[in-house]
Amino acid sequence: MKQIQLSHFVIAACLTLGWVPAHSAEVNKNPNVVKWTTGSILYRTIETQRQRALEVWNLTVHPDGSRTMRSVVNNFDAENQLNMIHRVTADFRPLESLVSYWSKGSYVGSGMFTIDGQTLNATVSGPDGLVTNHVKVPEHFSIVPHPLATDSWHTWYYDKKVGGPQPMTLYNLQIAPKTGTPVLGRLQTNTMTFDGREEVEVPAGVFMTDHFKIGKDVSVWLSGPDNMLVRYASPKSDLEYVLMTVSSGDFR
Amino acid sequence: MNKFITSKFVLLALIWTAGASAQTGDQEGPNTNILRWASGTYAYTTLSEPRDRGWERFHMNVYSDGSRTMNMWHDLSARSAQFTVVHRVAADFRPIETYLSYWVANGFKGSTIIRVNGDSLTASANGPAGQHDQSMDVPAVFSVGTHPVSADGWHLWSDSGEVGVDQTSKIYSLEASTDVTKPPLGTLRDLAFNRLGKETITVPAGTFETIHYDLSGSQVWITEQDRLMVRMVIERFDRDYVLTSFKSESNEESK
Repeated sequence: MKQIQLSHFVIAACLTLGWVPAHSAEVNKNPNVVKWTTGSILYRTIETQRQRALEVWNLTVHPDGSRTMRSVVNNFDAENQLNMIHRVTADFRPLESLVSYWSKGSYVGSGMFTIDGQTLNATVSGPDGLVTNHVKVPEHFSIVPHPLATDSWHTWYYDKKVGGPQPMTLYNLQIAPKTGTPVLGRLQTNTMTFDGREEVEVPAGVFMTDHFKIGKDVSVWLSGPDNMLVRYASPKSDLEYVLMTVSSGDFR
Repeated sequence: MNKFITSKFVLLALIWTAGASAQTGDQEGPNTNILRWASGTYAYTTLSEPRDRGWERFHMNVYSDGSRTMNMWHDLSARSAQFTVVHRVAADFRPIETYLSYWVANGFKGSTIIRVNGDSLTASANGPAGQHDQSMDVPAVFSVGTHPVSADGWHLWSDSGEVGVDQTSKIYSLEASTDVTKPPLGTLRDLAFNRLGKETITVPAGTFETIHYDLSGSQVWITEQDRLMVRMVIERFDRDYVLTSFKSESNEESK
């Protein structure tokens, strides 16, 4: 038992350092794929550790450095189900998002968001038909599609040399079905603060992370060149999201 | 010695990831939105040797209104292609909405959102060729062909059930060539198929009760309820697509 636990730790440590068995690199010959990584995130309460949801994600890093994140969320606690495809540039600025939401047995809608320079073009589709919208966005912003897998990408423009609290701009999608036009987002601002490097242990292993605080309550711990979410916590809401599994390489 | 250590490490990694997978599954806990779900992996090989050509993964949800969403992504290393697709269909498998993004041998080709409203299909593609919009009338019976194989059984939703009878449908088939100046938009084409009957087949993912079709010269075996692809063989192109792993769960009994 101890031997197995030690093996888990060694493997997790290797994954944390971005070490992938040579076998995987040899198999994956596709020049459009630099890396495949897949993982899962467990949603639970902090105090009682009650499980609320499971998110399964799959990331592709492409040769131009851009990334495609796919995510499927089964939130059995809140009775919603989310699908997401989220594409970002090499520096994590959003390129495109597709989401679809279900809540409490009903279809909420889907949204397609494409970024063209300083303009975000949205088309959302739901029970009430198709709505289009265009929003001016700053150079530094991110999208909140609500699966957690990309919630570690909001800090991509934080300047560590400057440090301290820095402004952040979020285009936050509306997940609840009774808040005006469902799915369509709105721009919000907040502050983010780099709180240092921390070693964090989650079910997937031990990871060296960057710890950011967002606003007064939320903390996010992210790791590696892909800013992988390791842990996200909101003590005020008694909610946390922890990396449950992760593996890199080929998926035959 | 090094080889032994590497093998041992890979084995441990496999045990670890398999254990983690068994611990979490793809979904945990019944969700009122989801009647059932399935996920799996396909191997792409040549039929003759067989030589490895790539792989594909999918996750499908069936929702409380009977509609389905198929998330699928592939790594077609033999063609230097990587496609990501989300495909939504109604309870009878008629397309509602499709998203796709294509990487081809010459780089990023583009992404497209396709929406169907009654007899009207609209598509908007973005990529190196700029933005291109398309709209067309579509018949009551048609499907969307995005090229990953997971949802290719959904082209057959108009099957009359008669065995050995030539049938036709329409397919909105996406342009997916390596020419990145051509946006990933579709054209409506005829699709011929013939139901050959029920067959039990065994593939690496297990043994499945299937319906065997001839689909425009390809042999396909699909499950009955959700029309999931179990195997596709295209002899004239020396292609074999076979399900190598499969998981599913139904919440219907608990409702």
